Amino acid sequence: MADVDPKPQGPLNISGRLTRYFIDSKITILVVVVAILAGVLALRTTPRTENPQIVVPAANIIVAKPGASPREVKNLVVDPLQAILRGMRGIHHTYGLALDSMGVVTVKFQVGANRVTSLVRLYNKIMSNMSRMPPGTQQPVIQPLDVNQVPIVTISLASAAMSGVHLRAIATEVLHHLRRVPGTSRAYLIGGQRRKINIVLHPRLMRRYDVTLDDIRKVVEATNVEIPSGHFTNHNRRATIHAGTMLRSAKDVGRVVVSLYNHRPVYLRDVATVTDGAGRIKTVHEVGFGPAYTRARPPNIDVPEVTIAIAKRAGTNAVTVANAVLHKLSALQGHIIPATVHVNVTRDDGQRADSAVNTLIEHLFIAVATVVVLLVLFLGWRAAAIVTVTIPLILFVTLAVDDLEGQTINRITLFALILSLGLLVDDSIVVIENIFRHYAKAGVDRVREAVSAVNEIGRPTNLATLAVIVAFLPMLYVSGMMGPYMAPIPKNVPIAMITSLFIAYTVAPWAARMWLKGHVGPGHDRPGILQRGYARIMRVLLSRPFARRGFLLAIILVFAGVLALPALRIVSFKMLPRNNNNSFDITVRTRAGSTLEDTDRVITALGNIVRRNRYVTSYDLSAGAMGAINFSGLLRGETLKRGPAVGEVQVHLVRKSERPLSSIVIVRSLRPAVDKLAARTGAMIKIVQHPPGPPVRATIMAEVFGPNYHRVQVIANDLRYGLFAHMPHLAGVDSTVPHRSTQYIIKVDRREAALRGVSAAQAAQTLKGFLSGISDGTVHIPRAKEPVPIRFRVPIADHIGPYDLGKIFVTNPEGREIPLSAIVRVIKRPAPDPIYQKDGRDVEYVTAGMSQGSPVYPVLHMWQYLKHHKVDGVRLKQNFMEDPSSLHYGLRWSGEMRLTLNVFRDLGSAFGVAILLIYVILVGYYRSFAIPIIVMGSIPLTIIGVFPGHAALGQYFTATSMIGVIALAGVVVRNSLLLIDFILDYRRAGHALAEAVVQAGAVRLRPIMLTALAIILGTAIMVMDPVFGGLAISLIFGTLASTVLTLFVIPLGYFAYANFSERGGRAPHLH
Amino acid sequence: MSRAKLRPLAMMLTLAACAHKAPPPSPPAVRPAATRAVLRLQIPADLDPHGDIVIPRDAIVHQGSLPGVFVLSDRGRARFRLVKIGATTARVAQILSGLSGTETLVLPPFRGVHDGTPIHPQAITTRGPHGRR
Repeated sequence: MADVDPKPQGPLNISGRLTRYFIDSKITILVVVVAILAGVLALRTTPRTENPQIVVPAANIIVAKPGASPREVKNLVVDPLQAILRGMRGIHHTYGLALDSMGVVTVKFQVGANRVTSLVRLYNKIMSNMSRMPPGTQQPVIQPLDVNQVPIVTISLASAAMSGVHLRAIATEVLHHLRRVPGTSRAYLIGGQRRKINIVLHPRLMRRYDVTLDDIRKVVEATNVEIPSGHFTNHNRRATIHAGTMLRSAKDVGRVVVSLYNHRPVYLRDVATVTDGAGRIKTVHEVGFGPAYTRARPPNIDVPEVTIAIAKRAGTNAVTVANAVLHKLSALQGHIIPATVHVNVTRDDGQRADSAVNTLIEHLFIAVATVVVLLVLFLGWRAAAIVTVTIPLILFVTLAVDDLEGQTINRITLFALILSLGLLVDDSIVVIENIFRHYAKAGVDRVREAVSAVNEIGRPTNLATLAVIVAFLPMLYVSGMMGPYMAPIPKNVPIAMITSLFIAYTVAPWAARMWLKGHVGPGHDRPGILQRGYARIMRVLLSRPFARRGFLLAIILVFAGVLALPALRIVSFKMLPRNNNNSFDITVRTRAGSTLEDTDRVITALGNIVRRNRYVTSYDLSAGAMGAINFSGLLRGETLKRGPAVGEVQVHLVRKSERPLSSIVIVRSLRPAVDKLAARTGAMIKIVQHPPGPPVRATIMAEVFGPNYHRVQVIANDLRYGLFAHMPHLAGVDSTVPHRSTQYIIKVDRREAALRGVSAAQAAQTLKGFLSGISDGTVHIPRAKEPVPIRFRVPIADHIGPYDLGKIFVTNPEGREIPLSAIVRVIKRPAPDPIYQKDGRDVEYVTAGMSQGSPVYPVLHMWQYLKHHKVDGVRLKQNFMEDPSSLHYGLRWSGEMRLTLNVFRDLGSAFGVAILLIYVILVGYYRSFAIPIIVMGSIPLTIIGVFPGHAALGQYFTATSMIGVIALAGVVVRNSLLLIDFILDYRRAGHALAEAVVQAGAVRLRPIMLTALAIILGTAIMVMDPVFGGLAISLIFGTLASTVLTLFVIPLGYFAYANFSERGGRAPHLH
Repeated sequence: MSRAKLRPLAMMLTLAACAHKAPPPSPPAVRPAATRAVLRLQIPADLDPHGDIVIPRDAIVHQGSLPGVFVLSDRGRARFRLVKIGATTARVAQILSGLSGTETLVLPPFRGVHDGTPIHPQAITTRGPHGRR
C-alpha cells in the first residue's frame, strides 16, 4: 500500500495509521464480508436462552439415621456434617434440616464456581469423613442440584379412562424414544402409578395357616432367583444354562408355596390377595384446561396425567433440542400414544427463549431504524448510509465474539446490544463528520484528507471510547447471582465499543472515500437557530457574574431537590421489578397431619379458581409431591418437598404476545380468591411468580437465631402473627415453625419381649412391614421398562389405628405366635419439630411475599419497629449483612432485601471504581488534575434527569436503573470531553477564553445533540420492558438532562477555572 | 448487506404472522347433563363404630387409578373427589379420608358422568341403601 499512499504531514497516530492501511485496501471489503458471515453464523448457532445461565453449584446431602429424633440427628449428623463442609474452600452457605430419622444438609458453593470440581471435592470431603459419622447412620445420598436438571420441555399425557399404570407405561415408552434425541440429558416421569405386584396380606388367614410375614418374605426371595449356572456341551454344540424360577407375573407370585398346612401346600394366594397394579396412591397429578385452551377438550374438568420432563445437556441450544423433542413427539402420536390420550406441551423453554430473543432482535431493528432516521435527518442520506452500514457489522462481530466465547444469546445480551447502539454509532458519526468537513474544501486528495481527518479526531475518540469501556468493566465484579446474570452487559458493551472504533477507522473512511463524492452540501458549517440561541445565552452567562452564579446555584438547588426524591419515597428502590411470564406456580402446604385427600381438595379448589381466568390455557395440579421443577424452585429447595401435605398448581397462560394483561395483573386478580381459600382451609398457599433475575428463597425473609431453639420458635411465631401479619402488601406470611401434629410411639416392652423370646428388632421389623409395607425384589417382566417391585402390605383397613396391633403377630423361636399388642405399648405424643440450621446455627425462618410494591420499605418499617419494641421480652439484635452473635437472640433480614443491598452495594462500588478509572485516564490525557474534574462534572448532572424520570413514569429505581447510571458516566464524559477538547483547540488557535468557550459549545452543539438523540431513540424501545425499563429510563432522562446541562455547566466550569488560574479573577472582556 | 438484514427481518415477519394466526380458544367442553340418584351423607347416621364414614361401595369410581367418588358441587356438577378407602364389604366401603360427611354423592350408573358433568338429582336419599354396618 505504501507506494500508492500519499505522505501525510507529520507522524500518524494509531487511528490514522489504521485508516491509511484500510482506506483503499482490498482487505476492507473482506472485513465486511467476514463480519456479516460470522454474524449470521453466530445468530444461527449460538445457544439461545431466556436469561443468562447462572452456575450455582449446590447439592443436597441426605443422611438417614433411623430412629433418631430431630435433636439427635442435629447433634450427631447435621452439625458435624456442616462443620466438615464449612471447612471447604468455596462454600457459600450450608443449610441444615434435622428431621425425624433423617438429616438434610444443603451446600451452596460460591456463584460461578466450577460445578464439576466443586462436586468432586464435596464427594471427597464427605467420603473421607465417613468414619466420623456416628454408628447407625446410613451411607449419605448426595444429590447435586444443577441448572441442567431443570426440564426445558414438559409434556403432559392425560387420560381419565386409562389406569395410571397403563398411562405411565405409555409415557415410559414415549420417554424411551424422546431420550434418544441428541442434546437431551435427564429425562424422567412425574405422576401416574408405577406398576407393582401388590401382595395384600390377610392377617386372619395367615394366622389360620400359621404363616408369618417373615416366612413369606423368605420364600418369595428364595423362589425369585435365576442364575446362569454354566453350560452343556453336546453334539458339538454349547448351550448356556439358567437355573431357577423367576417370578414373571402376579399369578406366578400367587402360586408360590409359602408353607405346608396339614401336609398340603399353602399358596401365597391363600393368605394374600396378589394384584398387578398401582398399589397405594401417594401422589396425585392432574391437568385441567382453562378458557384459553385451543385443542379438543376432554369431558373431565381435571384429568389424571403423567408428565414427561426432559432436561437438556449443558452447552446445547435449548431451541434446537426442544424443537427436536417436540418433532419426535408428534411422530410418536398415533403410534405409541393412543388417540384417546390428551397430549399437551406444558413447558417449552426453547420456544420461550426463542421468542424472547426474537422479540429483542425485533426491538434491536426498530432501534436501529430510529437511529438511522435520525442520522438521515442530521447528516443527509449519504453519510447516514455509511453509518448505517457500520451498525450491523459491529453487532455481528459482537455476536460472533460471544459465540466464540461460549456465551449464549439471551435477553441480557440483546439489551446490552440495544444499550450500546446509541454509543457505537458515535464513533462512525464523528469520523464521517470530520471527513465530511475536510471534503468540504475544494480540490482535495480524498485519501489523504480522509486519513488526516481520522488522524485529527483519533485521540479524543479513542479516549472517549475508553471512558465508556472503563465505565462498564467494573460491573464484571458484581458478586452473588446478580453478577453472572448481568455479566453480558459489561462483556458485550466493551466488545461492541472496540469493534465500533475499529470499524469507524477502517470501513467508515473506506465507504466515505467511495460514497461521499462531491456531495458536500452548502451551509453545513453555517450556525443554525439552535447554535445562535446557545451562543447568545452563553454570552449572557459569561458576561454577567451574577447570572452565572445564579445559574450554578439553581443547578445545585435542583440537584438537591432531586436527591430528596428517593428520601421522600417519590422514587422507590427495588432490586428488580416483576416480569411478565407465561406461567406461574401456586404452592400449597396443608396443615401438618393432613392427608393426601385434604391436599387434593385444596388444589382442586385452586384449579377451580384459576380456571375462571380467561387467559389460562391449562394448569397442572400436584398433590403429595411437586410438579416439574423450575430454576427458581430448584434454588428454593423444592426438590426436597414431598409428603401428603405438599401440593402445587402450575398455571400456564396464553403467550404474552397474545395477551393484553401482564401475568402480574392476572396474579393480582386471583389473589383475593386464593386468600379466601387459604383462610377457609387453613392451608398455606403462596403464589410464586418466576423472578426476572436471580431467585431468592422468599421475597422477605427474617432469619431468627438464638441460644434456645424453643424460644427462637416462640419469637418466630410472634413475629409471624404479631408483626408480619399486620404489614400491608405482604402476602403468604409463613414460618418454618410447624403446627403441632401427633405421633404414635410404639414402644417394645423389653421385659415382655424377652420373656416371650422375641427380639425388639424383630418386632420393629414386623411392624414396619405391616405399617408401611416392604418391597422385596422385583418380578421379571422382560417388556417392562421400569422395575416392577413386589410389595407386601396389609390392607389399609387393618392398620387404621393403634387398636389394630392385636391383629399382627410375631413368631418366637419356639414357633409360638405372639400378638404384637402383648409386647408393645402405644404412646401418643406431639411429633418432634424439625430443626433448621443455617451455617451451623439453629434458625427459624419467617417469610413473606409481596402482593405489590417493593420489599425494601416493609422491611425498613419492621426493622424500625423492632428497634424500639421487644418480642417475647427480648430485644432482637438486627443485622442485614453480618452474622448475628450466637449468644443473643438476633434477626437477620435476608431474602430479596439482602440481595438488593448486595447488588446496590456492588453496583455502587463498580460506579466508584468506574469514576476513578475515568479520572485516571483523563488525568493522563490532559496532564492536569483539575480539568478532569470539570469534565466529570457532567456525571452528577445525570441524576437530575434519572430520578425525576423514574418518578414521572412511576417506575422503581432498580438494579438495571443503576446500570443505566453507570453507563451514563461513560456517555456524558464523552460529551464534555469533546467539548473541553474543542475549547482547548480554539484557545491554542489564539481565541480569547470567553470566545473559545462560546465557539466550542456552538460547534459541538450539533454532534453532542446527535449522539444524545441517538442514545435516547436507541433505548426508547426498552422503556416498556418490565425489567430493563429502568435502564432505559436512566439512559433517556439522564442523557437528556446531562446533555442540556453539560452544554452550559461544563464550559462555565472551565471558564471559571481558567479565569481563576490565569486572570486572577478579573471580569472577562467580550467584544 | 441487505441479505444479512433480510434474514432476521423475514424471521420477524414470520413471527408476526404466527402471532396473528394464534388459534382461537376452543369452546367450553360440552358436558350433557345427566339425571342420577344422589345420596346426602349425614353424620352420625353414616358413621361406622370407628367414626369413619361409610358409603355404598358402588358409589366408588376410579379415574385413572385414583379411587374417588363423585360429589355434587354447589353448582350442581359432579366433581371427582379423591378418597382413601378402608375396609370394604360387598355393599359398603369405609372412607378413611376425603369426605367430611356433609357431601352429596352421585350414585351410579356412571356411564356419561365425568368430572364436571351437570347432574339433575333424581331422588335424594339421606341414608344409603346400605343400612347400618
